[in-house]
Amino acid sequence: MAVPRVRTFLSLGLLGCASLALLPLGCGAKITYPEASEGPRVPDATAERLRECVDEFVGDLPRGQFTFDVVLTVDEDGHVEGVKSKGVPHEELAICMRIALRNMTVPEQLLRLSKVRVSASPAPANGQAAAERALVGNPGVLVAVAVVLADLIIEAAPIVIVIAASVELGKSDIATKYRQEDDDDDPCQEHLNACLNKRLADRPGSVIGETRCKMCFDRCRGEKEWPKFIPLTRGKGSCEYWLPGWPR
Amino acid sequence: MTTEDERIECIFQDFAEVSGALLVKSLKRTRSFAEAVDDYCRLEAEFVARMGDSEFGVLETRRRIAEDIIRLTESKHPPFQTCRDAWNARVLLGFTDIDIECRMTWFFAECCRYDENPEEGLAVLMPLIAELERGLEEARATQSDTDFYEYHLEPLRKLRDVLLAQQRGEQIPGKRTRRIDEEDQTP
Repeated sequence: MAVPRVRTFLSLGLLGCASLALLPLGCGAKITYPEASEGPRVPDATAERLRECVDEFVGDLPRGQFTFDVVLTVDEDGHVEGVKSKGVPHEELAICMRIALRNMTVPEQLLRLSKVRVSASPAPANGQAAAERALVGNPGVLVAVAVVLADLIIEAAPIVIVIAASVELGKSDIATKYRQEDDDDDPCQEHLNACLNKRLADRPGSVIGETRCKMCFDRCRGEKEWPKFIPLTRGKGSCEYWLPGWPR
Repeated sequence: MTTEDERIECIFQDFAEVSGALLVKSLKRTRSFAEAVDDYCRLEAEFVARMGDSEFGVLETRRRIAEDIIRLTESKHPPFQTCRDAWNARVLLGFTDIDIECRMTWFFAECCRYDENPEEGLAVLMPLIAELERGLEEARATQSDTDFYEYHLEPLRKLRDVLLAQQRGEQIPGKRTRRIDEEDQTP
């Protein structure tokens, strides 16, 4: 595990140096919405979090354009219950983006929409036609429970990532089936996996042979939400493994 | 710190990394509880051997393994007797500190909730909650930090309340139980 982590940091370090040389401070990946793409947009806060994910891992990606196809299942309050995704050839970036989307709350206005709208985006979706990728599943079954969001494009030259998301409303059988088939759909598992791949995994837990990540995971299982921190013998320890500046 | 202490600490660092990866793998739906336990038994044998004559190292390794198995019972829902056996095995090893005791007790009590055995869950929760409440009062009296007690009391009290409701025969909205899951699977 140490070698990929070192490689990631070296890549990010080199990327950081390159960015400082070429871009003004504060500039990184850029968000755009293609005019041709219909549908409601991802909330700004979520788009920004997705942009941060791309910023973090852009150094590890090969140049080119990728389409991150994602289907969100939401409960009646608009809380994201599940994220089914494909199309990003980098596991950590995919996890980061899924977590960002999982924390999204779908606006009430969107929940009232009740018909399938297929994106007219010109963006290629890994060889799939727009209609095919509108929903990962059988659109016919999902009529009246799904909405396609406007494509979100994140450019971090020489890389372009198109996020093509749709939202399933309610608990259709097909959505349940996807949740059951997706090994890493549980948010606590996803966070644990991501945490163990970050520097926070080097922080010890309360007992020898345990990591901070497991302490955070235990809390997550109880509260169904990854905690921001946990109490330590002295003070608090952060669970926000995605933040820079570890160890803390 | 002696050379032997350093050696044990290094082994535990390896263990933390390997056992973390094994937990991620074991939590996957494609991995059965029995398969995961086999993996953990192999991991335990490997690291107990590496600990050599260190009684501390051997005991703490066994404790960490038993803790991960309890974590898995909550996700994998093996038969309740398996959950109970995992808990009893963990209790026999003793808890390293009250923090891990709180976390493991929650996992076992949650197994009890899932299988609708409120009495058994309450039997482990109530004394621990009482101990934490005493600690909280003492901390308040001495104006010490109360965060630790409050942090652990919150989920344990919530679960206690659910178990008490179960005991009264109430239906708990939004909570899956084995009975509900089995009914859902019946054609």
